[in-house]
Amino acid sequence: MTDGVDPLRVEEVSVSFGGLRALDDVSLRVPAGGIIGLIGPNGAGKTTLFNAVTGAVDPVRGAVWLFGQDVTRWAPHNRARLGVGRTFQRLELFGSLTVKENLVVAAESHAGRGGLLSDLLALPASIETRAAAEERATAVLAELGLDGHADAVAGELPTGLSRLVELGRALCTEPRLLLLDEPSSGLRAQESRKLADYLRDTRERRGTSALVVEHDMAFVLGLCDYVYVLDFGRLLAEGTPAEIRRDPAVQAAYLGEDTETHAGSAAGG
Amino acid sequence: MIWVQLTVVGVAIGAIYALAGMGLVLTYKATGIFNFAYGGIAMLVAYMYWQMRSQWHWPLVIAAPIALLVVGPGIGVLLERVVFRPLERRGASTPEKLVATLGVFLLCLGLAFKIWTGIVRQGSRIVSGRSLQFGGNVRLGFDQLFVLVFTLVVCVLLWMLFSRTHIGTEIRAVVDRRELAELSAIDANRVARISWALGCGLAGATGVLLASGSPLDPYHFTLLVVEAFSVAVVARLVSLPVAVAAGVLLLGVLQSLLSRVDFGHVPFTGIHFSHGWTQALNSLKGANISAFILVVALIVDRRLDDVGGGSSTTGLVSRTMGGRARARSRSGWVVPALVGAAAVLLPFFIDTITLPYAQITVALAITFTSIVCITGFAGQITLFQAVVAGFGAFIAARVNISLGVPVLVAIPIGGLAATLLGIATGFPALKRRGLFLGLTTLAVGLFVHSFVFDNQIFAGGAQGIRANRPGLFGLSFDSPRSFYWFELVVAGLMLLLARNLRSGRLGRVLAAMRDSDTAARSIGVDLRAYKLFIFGASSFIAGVGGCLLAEQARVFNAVTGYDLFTSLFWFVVVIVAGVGSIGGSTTSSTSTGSRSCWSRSAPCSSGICPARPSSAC
Repeated sequence: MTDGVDPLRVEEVSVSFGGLRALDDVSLRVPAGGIIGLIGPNGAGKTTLFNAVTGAVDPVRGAVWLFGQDVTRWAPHNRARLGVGRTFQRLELFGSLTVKENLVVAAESHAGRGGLLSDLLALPASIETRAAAEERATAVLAELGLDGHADAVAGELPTGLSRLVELGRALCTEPRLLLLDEPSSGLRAQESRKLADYLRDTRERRGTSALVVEHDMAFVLGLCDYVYVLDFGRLLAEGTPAEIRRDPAVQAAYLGEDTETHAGSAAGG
Repeated sequence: MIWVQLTVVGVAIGAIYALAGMGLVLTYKATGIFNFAYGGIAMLVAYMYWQMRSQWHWPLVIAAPIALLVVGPGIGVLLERVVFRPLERRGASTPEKLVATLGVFLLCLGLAFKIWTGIVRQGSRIVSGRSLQFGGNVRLGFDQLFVLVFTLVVCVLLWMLFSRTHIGTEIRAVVDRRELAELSAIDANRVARISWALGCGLAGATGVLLASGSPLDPYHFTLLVVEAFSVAVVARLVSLPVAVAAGVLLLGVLQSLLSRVDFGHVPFTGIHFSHGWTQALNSLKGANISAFILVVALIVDRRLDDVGGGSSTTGLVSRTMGGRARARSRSGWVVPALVGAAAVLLPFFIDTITLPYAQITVALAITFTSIVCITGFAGQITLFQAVVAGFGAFIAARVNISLGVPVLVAIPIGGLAATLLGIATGFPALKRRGLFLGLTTLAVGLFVHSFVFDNQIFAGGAQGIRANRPGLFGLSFDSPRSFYWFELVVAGLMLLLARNLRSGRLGRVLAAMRDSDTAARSIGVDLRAYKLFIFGASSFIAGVGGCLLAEQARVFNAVTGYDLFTSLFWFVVVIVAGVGSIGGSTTSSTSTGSRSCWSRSAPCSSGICPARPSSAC
């Protein structure tokens, strides 16, 4: 962990889809060891911001810095290799693989690059990589309490478990920065609390920073050190959870109208 | 004046392609199904029309409306009801539907062979062959005039349908946003039925018009789908006016004008190419210009990403299929070992007349394994695998005959050549998924076939190139038994490669890529490298299999095999047999090889054609 260098800096990023401006001049930073929240109503541009950071969309203006490097023009997999793990709002598990294989493939991808021919001919180097990766995957499964589901086919899991598997898969790449897109949706209240504890714990032990997109206000305000509020692609407010709670603009644009839906989704979950 | 005349002819032909393009796009956009049977349906309707006019001597005013308004649309309605609605209800994946259309295509061919045999007929004219004479030797045939008027009328009618009627609005809604339209009260079945009827009606019209006064045989429109699709791609699958313009200008006029150009010497420079290259370049003038346009458009036009297939996985192996196959793969080595032992001992139990079939089976098993690798393990659709195999065989035979390289060395060289071809094709495919990838491979296959295989000087024409069997340290594998065992050794090596592609790290990464390329990138997988890799690896296996096929026949002959039709057929066979496992390739090759549908005669002896489409479901 290089102290002092921000894992993530987004500088005045704008993203357009056709005529629609999905992100307009957004800047934010995730300091080393920080757990940062990103909230806002549906369509505010939260997932688009994630995509701009991971390289799934190209910004029309602005720059993305990861660990002190300008990665604005980098391919997605190279950004991931810098130490960025990600989960998805719309689940993206490897559905035909088992839960454990989902994690192993991530660990292997992190462990070694290239080696395609070595893999094709099943050379010893590839077999060693595999053993290490399996060890790592087993450890992460145990941490997340997923050991009982190791051999389940990932495509057949319920949503809550799938989110945990996605988190596990991201963790297997030993990320220094986690991007979590609605990690607690589909989880029960108690599971959400456990998740929050786990993320804090991971920060303590590994120094992993995180940027968390959430709908669940209680979850975000309870977990994060600092929160950014997006609305219609623009930054509406930023501050500590306490400041965000008090901010009248946030209350007007977001909290006020969302209290109801939040209550509804909590009851539904 | 000759150029004006050629332009006139070109406009008329181009108008027909435009019709074809519109019909293909219409069904695709409204139902999400790319109809590979398009040419087959065009051929059937053309035959029906021929039957009514030339055999039953029905008057034009009865036969033409029946063919254009009843038979074509009727086939469409029937297909929708019998094949595609059940598939839709079952939630079939895009590739499954694709295989179903290929099945329908084979069925069309089989029907045509059964009813009308393979004899080349003279298609019935829809209007008289007379023509209007203009000044300066320019003539406009009545048939050409009719085509133009007909295209114009169809365009106007389609426009009215889409802008003035309720069902037109519904179709447009479905085309714009399938998911949303399904949520609202639109009757999806009705929309599907009508768009199938329209699509097949246009296919039929295309067939009748193209066959008017021209030769007609069951294969005639096999690749119409490529021409129609190149029109559609240039129109970016959305704009009907652009489709018309592309059809008329690019395919019609350009093709017509090029027919007068001799590529033997480059204009204005006086450079002459050698014979082989002249012939290769001149081959571009035929139907291949559409393949060429298609390849270029698919490579160049990045905006196509928005229209071809969604961002969701279009991998061929559905989740359940993959899951099941993986679960089964753990269950040990007993069956493979037994099959292997039986294969080794086989020559002792069968006579020398039957042994060649076993040899074909082993060679086919290798090529089919290549399809399983790329389509089953990695979820990439390739429709040119027979051409890849042929390319490997071609290069191996050439280096053996022309350069005197020993066969045992020539085989890997052939495999590597095939690898290069695969990688070269995979490169543009990096940006493509699912269907568009399949079509890119189809276009490349068409291209290679006409550029290399059809070339007298390169590939030896109807005689082909002699393909010697290998030997090692004075030990010859020329006799039936020893060649068979040699094949088995090669097959074992290739299956070992395939096994490594399936299990272990590679297998997991490929499956990951197949299931979700977004997530695969997010864990740091370089998709480009893996896609190129699987293209190369599978092409290597196919190329080696192709070498063995040629050596089995003792000749590389591109005229009787290694074409796109064979590719499509192989693809269907492998998918039907089960693409998820290596066992599938073995099973399918056994059944194909023992019936020997391949290599003995034309690849489509009528025996293989009546493959029921339902078996693809």
